[in-house]
Amino acid sequence: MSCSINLKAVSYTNCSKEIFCDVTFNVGHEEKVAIIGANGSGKSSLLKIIAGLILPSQGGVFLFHNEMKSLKDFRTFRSDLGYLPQEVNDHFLCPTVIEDVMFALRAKGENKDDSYRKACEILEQLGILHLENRIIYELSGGEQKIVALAGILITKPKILLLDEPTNALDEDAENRIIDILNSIKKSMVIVSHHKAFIDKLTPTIYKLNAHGLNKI
Amino acid sequence: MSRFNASVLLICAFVYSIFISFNQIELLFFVPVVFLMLCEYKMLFKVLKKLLFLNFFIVMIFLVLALQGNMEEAVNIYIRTNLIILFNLLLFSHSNGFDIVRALNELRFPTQFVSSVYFTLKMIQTLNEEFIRIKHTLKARGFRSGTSMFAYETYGNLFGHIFVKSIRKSNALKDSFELRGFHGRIYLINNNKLSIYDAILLLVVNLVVLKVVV
Repeated sequence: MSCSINLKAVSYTNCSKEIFCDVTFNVGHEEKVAIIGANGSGKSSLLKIIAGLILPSQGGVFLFHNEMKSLKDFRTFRSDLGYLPQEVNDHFLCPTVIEDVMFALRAKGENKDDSYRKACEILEQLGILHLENRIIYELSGGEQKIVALAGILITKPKILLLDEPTNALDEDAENRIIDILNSIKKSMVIVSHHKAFIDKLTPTIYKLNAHGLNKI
Repeated sequence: MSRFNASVLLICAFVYSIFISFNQIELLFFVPVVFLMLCEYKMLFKVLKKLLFLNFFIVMIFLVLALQGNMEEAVNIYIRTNLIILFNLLLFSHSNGFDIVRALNELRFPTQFVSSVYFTLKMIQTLNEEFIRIKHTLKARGFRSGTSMFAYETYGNLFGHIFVKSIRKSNALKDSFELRGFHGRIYLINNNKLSIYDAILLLVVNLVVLKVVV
């Protein structure tokens, strides 16, 4: 199986405090991998390292067998990576649902009509077409997560990096997210401290602690 | 939702405010305000309450001028200021701030200026939400405002918390720019439709302008 992501002996230090060390793992093509761990164990930092937002203190990050030596190297693969932050409010760059979902395509230079059509298609697939013209900040937390996911999926990334996708959601919203994620055939790294949610998504679960990743 | 086009609102707000500011009061100046009052009659009480609050400050200006013996000028300024504020409050009574961004975009303002206004509004909204959250926390934890050293320390902490939060939010936004391919422009869908209300508003504001100019 070809690997989408390889991490080789990655360590991360923040403010002279070692958060984790010697993290080595691979994510295969269309494989779903979950990472759990205690608060402050560095789950979100690990995801940010893979997303190319921060650099590890040591070790190597490889995307599609290419080593990412600096943050600039990630730019080549930016459209292949879809990153959903823990606080989705930070993800949004436009006021209404449709405008935000269209954003990535328009920023890439696609014309308005095509972007609009594709955005409507993705909203329909995710069952939120009725929210099309709503102001994002007036939506519920669950709806915001799905809108953010739509904004990521529209660019057809090969890898999805999801940081606590069901954080602070009710059961219905969580089940909806699970159904959506199960229907997507892409490489995924999901960070969560919610074991029951992870169990419904993938059998490949790692636990992160200060000494590295252990497969559960 | 407002029945008016955002661009029309912005143009009317600008034109009406400028022309009223520099001219003596006329009966015709009340027409756009009356028209808006009729259109937004459901919001009228809320708007008038805001106007009443703002009048505390306007009354001070009125008193200063009146005490200098400039009674006619004082009354004129008092009415003009109230008219401008009432007109703008009525115009933007349904606004969530983002329609102003939309209006700037429709009026072909530079894209980077539109983006900057949008992200400024977004940041203000986020910090306002944070401020309300902290206010509720203080209330829930039994804090009472006063002039004690403890109260001032708490205010200092509150300010520090919001400051740190704003830096974190700015960094998160920077990450989003990088991840989502932002190049200094947000893409908005323009609404170029004009309703009968827009046409009437433009007409009455134009009448004011003509009255002043001719």
